[in-house]
Amino acid sequence: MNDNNNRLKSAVDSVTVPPFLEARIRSQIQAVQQPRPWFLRVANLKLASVGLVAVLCAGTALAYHEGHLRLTKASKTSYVWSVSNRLVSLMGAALGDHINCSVFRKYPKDAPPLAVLEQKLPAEYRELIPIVQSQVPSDYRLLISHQCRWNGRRFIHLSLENDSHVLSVVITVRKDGESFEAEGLLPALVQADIPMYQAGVQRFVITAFETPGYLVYFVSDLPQSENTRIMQAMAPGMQSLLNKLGA
Amino acid sequence: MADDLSQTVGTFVSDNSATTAADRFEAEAVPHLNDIFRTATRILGDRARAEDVAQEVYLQAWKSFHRFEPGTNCRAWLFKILFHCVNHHRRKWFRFPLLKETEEFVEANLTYAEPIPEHLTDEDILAALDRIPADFRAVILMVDVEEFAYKDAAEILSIPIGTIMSRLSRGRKLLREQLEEVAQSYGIGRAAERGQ
Repeated sequence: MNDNNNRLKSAVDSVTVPPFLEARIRSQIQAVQQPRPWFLRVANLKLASVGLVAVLCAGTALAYHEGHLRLTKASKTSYVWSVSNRLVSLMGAALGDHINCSVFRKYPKDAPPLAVLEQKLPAEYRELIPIVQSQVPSDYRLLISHQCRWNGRRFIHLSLENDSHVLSVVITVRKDGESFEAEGLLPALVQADIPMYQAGVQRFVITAFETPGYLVYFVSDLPQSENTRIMQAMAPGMQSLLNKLGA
Repeated sequence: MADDLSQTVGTFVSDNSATTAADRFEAEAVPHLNDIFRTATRILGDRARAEDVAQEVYLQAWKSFHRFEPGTNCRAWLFKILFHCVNHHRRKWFRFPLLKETEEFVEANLTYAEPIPEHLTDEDILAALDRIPADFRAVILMVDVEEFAYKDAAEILSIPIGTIMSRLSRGRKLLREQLEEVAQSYGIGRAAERGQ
């Protein structure tokens, strides 16, 4: 059979192959990128999935840590305590009130009429509203003006928001022996003979001063310098009013 | 040729692994193009279709070259792709009568094979080959022309080795009959002698 096979083979090999076939095949291959091996594709998918899950976990953890995912009352309270306890008690009290009222409570985005805001304040504190509104940038809306209580302490609280930031003016009656210096704080600066104290934790910053009868705080998520600048502008007017009120 | 393909593929795939794959494809697959085309021509009986199928074979081979294990039989792998493509096109183009296999029909492969008359031309032999049924023709091409072992031919054609043997035996017999008829028409060979 070998001779026959050779004849057969020779006959089949006599068929000429078109010279352009090879070129045409090359051109087709050019147009097609070879797919990557399945294990690399699967590995890439797995890596991408793991990466995505890691980013989601990190994002969720960060959001939880920053208080954004504290949904129940207990978890919110826990968050307020965990943050405010990292400051000296006088600063922590004001921060706790700010977070509790301005950050966690859902107020309408539209500012209530001024008359409504004024009615919610005791009459002697209503002059605070124009003092505050005249010194904060004009895009901030006054959303809250009320008396509130946090950790057994009463506060006069004004809260303002724009699309990015939340600000609070928090005032409380000074109890006997209370002072920032007594808590170990030193003034960061003195503005118009008013010593200013500063503190900060997480994204929150506080600038505060005291009068003979009151502790006055400006709490926000602004940069510390901006927060202090606004407080410096408001301080003389507020000090004057509060001094008139006494304690 | 290797440089050509490496360069052309390299313009589309920049990483080193793809360039290496192009080099390997060039070295291992492209040299078998002539065999692939000739077998496709004999199986399909049409050069134009054989060109299409050969291109398709190489495109499929390139797309799945990452699955080809280096060191294994690239030629057999290409022929397997060829018959996969041929079967696909067969369903599209033709209605070949399928053979009824009688597996018990395995003629002795060592029976005497009458030599192909010398006066027959390559065209005569190819014409005789083209006249036998495609399934027999495929086995003859794989075993007698491309010289694959039965086991490899069975793998390429996706049929049992027993079927390879029976088809080969019957195919050879049919080919001999066809060649005898051609020889007889030329007035040569045993049949012609018996007839005169």
